Amino acid sequence: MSASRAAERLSNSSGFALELENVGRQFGALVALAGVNLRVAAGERRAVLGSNGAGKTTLFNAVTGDFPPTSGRILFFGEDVTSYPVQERIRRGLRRTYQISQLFGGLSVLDSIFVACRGVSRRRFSLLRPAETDATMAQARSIAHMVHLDEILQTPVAVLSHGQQRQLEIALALSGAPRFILFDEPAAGLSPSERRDLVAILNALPSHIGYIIIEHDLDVALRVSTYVTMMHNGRIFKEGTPQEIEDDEQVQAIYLGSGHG
Amino acid sequence: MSFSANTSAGGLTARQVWRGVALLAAALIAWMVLGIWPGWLDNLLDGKKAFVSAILNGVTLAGLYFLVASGFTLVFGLMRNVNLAHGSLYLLGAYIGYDVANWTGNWFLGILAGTLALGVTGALLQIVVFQRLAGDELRQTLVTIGISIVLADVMLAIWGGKTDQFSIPDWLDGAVVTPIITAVKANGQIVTLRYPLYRLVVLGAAVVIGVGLWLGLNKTKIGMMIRAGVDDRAMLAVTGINVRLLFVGVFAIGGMLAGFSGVIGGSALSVAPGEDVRYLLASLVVVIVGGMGSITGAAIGALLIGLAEQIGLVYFPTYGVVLTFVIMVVTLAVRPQGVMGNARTRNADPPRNVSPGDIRHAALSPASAVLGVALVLLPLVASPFLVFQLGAQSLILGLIALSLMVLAGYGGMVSLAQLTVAGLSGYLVAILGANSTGILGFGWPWQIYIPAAILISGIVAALIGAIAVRTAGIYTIMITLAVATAFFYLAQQNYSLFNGHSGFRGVAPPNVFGVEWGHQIPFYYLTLGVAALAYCGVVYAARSTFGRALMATRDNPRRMRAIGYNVTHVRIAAYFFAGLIAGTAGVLYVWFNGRISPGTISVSEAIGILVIAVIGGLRHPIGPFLGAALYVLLKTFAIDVVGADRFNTLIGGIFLAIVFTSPDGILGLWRRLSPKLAGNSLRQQAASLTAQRRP
Ligand SMILES: Nc1ncnc2c1ncn2[C@@H]1O[C@H](COP(=O)(O)OP(=O)(O)OP(=O)(O)O)[C@@H](O)[C@H]1O
Ligand SMILES: [Mg+2]
Repeated sequence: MSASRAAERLSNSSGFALELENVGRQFGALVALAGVNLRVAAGERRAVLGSNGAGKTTLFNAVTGDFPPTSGRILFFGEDVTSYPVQERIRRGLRRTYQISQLFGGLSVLDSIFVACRGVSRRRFSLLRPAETDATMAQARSIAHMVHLDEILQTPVAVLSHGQQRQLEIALALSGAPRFILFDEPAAGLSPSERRDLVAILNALPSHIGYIIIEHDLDVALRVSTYVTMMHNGRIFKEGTPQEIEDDEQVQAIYLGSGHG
Repeated sequence: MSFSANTSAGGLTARQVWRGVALLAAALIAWMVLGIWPGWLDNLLDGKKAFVSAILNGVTLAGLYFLVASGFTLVFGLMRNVNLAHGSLYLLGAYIGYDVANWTGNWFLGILAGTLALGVTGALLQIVVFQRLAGDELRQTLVTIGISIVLADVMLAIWGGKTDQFSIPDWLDGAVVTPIITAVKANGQIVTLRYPLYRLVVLGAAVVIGVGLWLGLNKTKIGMMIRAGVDDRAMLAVTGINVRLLFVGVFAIGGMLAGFSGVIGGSALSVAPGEDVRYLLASLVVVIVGGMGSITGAAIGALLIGLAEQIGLVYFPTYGVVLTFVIMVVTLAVRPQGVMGNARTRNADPPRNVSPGDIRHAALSPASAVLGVALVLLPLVASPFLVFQLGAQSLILGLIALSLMVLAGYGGMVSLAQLTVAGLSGYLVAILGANSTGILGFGWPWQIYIPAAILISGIVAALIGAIAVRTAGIYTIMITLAVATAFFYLAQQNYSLFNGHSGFRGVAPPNVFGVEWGHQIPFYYLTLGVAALAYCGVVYAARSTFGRALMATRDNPRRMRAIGYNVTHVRIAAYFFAGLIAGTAGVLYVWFNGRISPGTISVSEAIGILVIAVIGGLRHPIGPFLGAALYVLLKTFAIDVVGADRFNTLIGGIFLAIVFTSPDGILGLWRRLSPKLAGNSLRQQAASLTAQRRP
């Protein structure tokens, strides 16, 4: 019912960035995702909410291929990517951040972003040192600037503060011309001012880049998204505009009542 | 429920298919053993007797392999401790059992002594050594390597280099008649096979112990906890049992199994130096094939390897070890976690790096320039013999270790097959170029055989990498060690390509530009030039796109995939580049020695390369050269230092000390000293600053 409404709402849209058809994922006997249907338009900004263990991260893992789905189909800009390895999906313009930062401890901030920018280029295996004027290097610097890391370009990642690590997570996801990004709780553990920065960064993204953001903080979620998907026990149980979601009694009972805070 | 094609969820049916295949194979073998053969089969397989003997030998050998490998797999499964000293424990058990059996005149007391002594040894190892390194699997493994070096040397000192033969009780000796019909004579008389009783007893012991272990693991509470711990070690902590005690107990059992099989196996075959390597290889391959931490897997693996070895021995003697190797490769390709292995065990707990290579320091410092000048001027102050023997040898070994440093320091992959790659290159030089052995030696011009040798080395290294990167972390050491050992045995057994035991003599560098490169001083400058080139190349490439990508892959492969890299390709490319370095070093090495034989690429030599790299330090490309210099110095002057030829004990001890105290090797010790100086001056600066501020 809700899915059909979503489809109706998007019927005028040019196309979908992401289409999930009956996607399921099991870990042994545990059903972490139970037949999820989801469509997100190109350029759309979607929030996914749900209590702990609802299957949100598992949904991301299925889309990126970190843990491929055990059933169902995933289309990325119309192409069936269900059986593709992770990097093939990435090369088609998909990006993600991780709930628990996945960074390169031995590299500097700039090197990390540089490596990420080169990941989708043909010169991944070059044995030449990049020149100071290198275009990819310039791109890396501008991304670092975007996430306010340009002051500490040469700092080793291992010594960054938590907030800086979260910024770098985002920087890695912005590298190399993404078309669609999955943000997994980017605001977790950030200070209020860092949260404001985050909201500003997300709102400043070029309009053709769509994303899904998992966020426990309803305020942040509502400021960076136009449509909300609610998950519970591995299923989508409600979709709607931020207003509809906030007013929904069921939502308040299940989510806001228990998992919040 | 529908399953997509890329998941392993179809395992149930696949497993049934495999069971069917296994059943068919078993039925076929049963018929071939028990049935009466038609003539064509007799012709095809050299007669039934040869075939049945090969099968029986294979199965009984499998029993022995199972006994050795079950201890290894238990210890690894629970503690993630790849005990590369397991073969040494086997041999130690054999020696102790041998001595006690001789003193007391009672073979059974020998078994008891070997078993108990090694049980105590195992427990002590866990308490004294491994408990301190809990959670750091890579260093644990390095320590086991150090222990195996020292133990082998100590055993050589105590028991000597000769081959000992047990005398087993008379009633176990001799052959028994089996109900297996090998032929039917023309007069209708049936000829049955006679088989050594003792070997059947070994098989029986293996079955009894195997069943006992299986019951212990599956039917007792402790056993179930151990199994839970194998699958998920976080589980152990929450079960509330005494994990420390459990680990000590399991290590003791592992030691007892090694000691027991040492005496049993030593009685069946013989006790001699080198057996430790043989049984280590067997354990490695059995466990890689069977799957980590699984007793059933060890049984399956042992059966496959035992049969392959004996069948290979009968039907293609000079390529026998290739069969073993192929089984390992096919397993890794089809099912990287092994037949009975658990995929989670395979990927769990990526090990910490020993010491990640660091590019922030990777610049040509003034210190390295000074060192370079000193090396260039060395021939002015040292005798040509020293320049050649110490200088050139250090540089060559340093080059091979450099290729390991690239893989381990920048890539996080500790490969023990780098000397193997260098050795292959040396063999290629001898085969494609000229040698004085009178065998092969195509006499190609140097412009062709040198690049060919180096390139083929790079490609073979990439292939080894392709096998090794099927699994991650600690498995790399095991697989590359298995590759190195297999290649050593192949070179030793094979005469058509490698000229077996004696290898090739009379391999010398060509005279180019009117220089006799084979002479001591020119050869030294040749190696110095190549080493400097390789060193600068590595320093440069460390900051290249690929260099950074390799380090990023080492730090976080998952994130690498999520930014578009094919992690497997990055790693294989690293093996290729490192292989080019090792291959280049191999060319120099065969010229330096003037010959190449299996001894050059033996397992202890391969481990020597790891020792060099770790002692020198894996953080910076200069480390391997420092380590090599120390190694060669000690090797040359060990007799003067310790009064006897105990070089291995000495170097093993230093290696252990380095692994325990300074993960960054000599380089790390140096850095630890220099920041102290820097720290002092900073503190002084701060003090003077505060002094200034105060009025
Ligand atoms: N790799 C895995 N192996 C086994 N179980 C898993 C794995 N990943 C997730 N699960 C299980 O799947 C369920 C859903 O987890 P998931 O991480 O998707 O929840 P989530 O909605 O992201 O929760 P949170 O808000 O806590 O991040 C949980 O019960 C979790 O334990
Ligand atoms: Mg989550």
